[in-house]
Amino acid sequence: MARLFDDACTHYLGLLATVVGGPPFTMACWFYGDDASVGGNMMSVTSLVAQESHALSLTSAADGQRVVASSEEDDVWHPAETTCPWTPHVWSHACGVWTADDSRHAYLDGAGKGSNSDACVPGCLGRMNVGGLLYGYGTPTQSFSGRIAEAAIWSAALGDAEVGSLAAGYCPLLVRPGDLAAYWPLGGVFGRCDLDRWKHGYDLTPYIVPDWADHPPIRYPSRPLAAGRETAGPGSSASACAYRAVAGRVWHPGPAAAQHDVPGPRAGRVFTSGSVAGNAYA
Amino acid sequence: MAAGDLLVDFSPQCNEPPSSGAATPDARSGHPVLDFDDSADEAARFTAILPWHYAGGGITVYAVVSFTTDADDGHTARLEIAFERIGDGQQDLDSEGFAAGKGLTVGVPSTCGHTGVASIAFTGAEIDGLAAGELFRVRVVCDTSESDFSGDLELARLMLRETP
Repeated sequence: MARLFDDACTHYLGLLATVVGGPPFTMACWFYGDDASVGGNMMSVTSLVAQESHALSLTSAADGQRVVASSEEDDVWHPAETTCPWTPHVWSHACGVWTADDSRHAYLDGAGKGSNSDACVPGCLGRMNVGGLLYGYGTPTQSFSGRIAEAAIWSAALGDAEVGSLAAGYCPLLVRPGDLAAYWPLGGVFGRCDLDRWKHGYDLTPYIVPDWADHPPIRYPSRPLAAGRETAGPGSSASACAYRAVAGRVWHPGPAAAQHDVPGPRAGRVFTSGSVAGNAYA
Repeated sequence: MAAGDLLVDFSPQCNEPPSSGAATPDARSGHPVLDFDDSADEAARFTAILPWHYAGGGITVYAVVSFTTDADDGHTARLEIAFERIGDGQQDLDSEGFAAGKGLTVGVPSTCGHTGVASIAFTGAEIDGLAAGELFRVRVVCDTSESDFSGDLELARLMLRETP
């Protein structure tokens, strides 16, 4: 399950907390925009007292249909836009990397990197939003139309290759976990909830509660396959049968495996992913 | 249980990346792999319990790898494999205690996209004295100074087997 946001209803998820205080940091999520005429904000950290923020957004078809990583100070935006447009009605990966106060980059599916080098220092960043932009006052704007899943923030600037890993479907828990600040799967193997599955407890709260929809395919962390005894099969020998041991003779986390762990309330736990219906790679 | 038993099979999703110099998770035509650069040493780490049926005969490590672009079968890659026994009071989790590594040389297959399999045996002492039922880590570092492949090395699987 992913969260399904309806811009007409101004669905959004929010949290009053300073998840990151400023660059360097990275925001990323999977999105499924369902209306090219609507852009909208996917993730943002915003000021409590002014129109200042860092935001990962989409622009509409009228504005080039790009993924945008922007910084805003005194209501003046400084956007980095991808060089290629996003496509409606398909799952895509969006990532914004803020390397410094004067350097930010936007990615679509790990590519199309666009950059902006305007100096911009938003302050008092005490609010986190998913699906809409809201400061510490007022009402949400830039409401998103479509699905969002696997949202995460790192307190470091990920490199191009690491952004590529996320776009290849790897769970944020597998990419630079030492710098991971928060991870909101918004469904998937973690079930229908808006909890932070990393260690700081930055749980989101739904306001004007968005619906649930199908989740993108994700490669989640998996536990090692602890094997049993290999028995000699036809033609096996000590040197030739090393890999036959996996087939049929040993514990195997295939689609029907019964050994699937139920993810715990906080991440750091690892679990198999191959047996989750439709939602994960083996 | 005895020699030849498969002990543990690590997929790329089992990787617990170091904070810097980590191999990069990637996918090749849908197959999960860990990418190791040809120009900088990168590492992957895996944690597991050594199965109780391990009989103390030493461990042979098998690496299944491919290469992103290289198809020169005269080229090789060197992976340094090392074990860390965490066990029962043997290792402080606040520090690293990997035993001396051993080099595993993998040849580049002549067809890009094919996998190559290489193995190396460790004695009981070389696996840091690890015993059945104990927690441990195994680390893989691609030693670029001893390698001449180009592009990325893709680690698709790491398997541990009790030495036949």
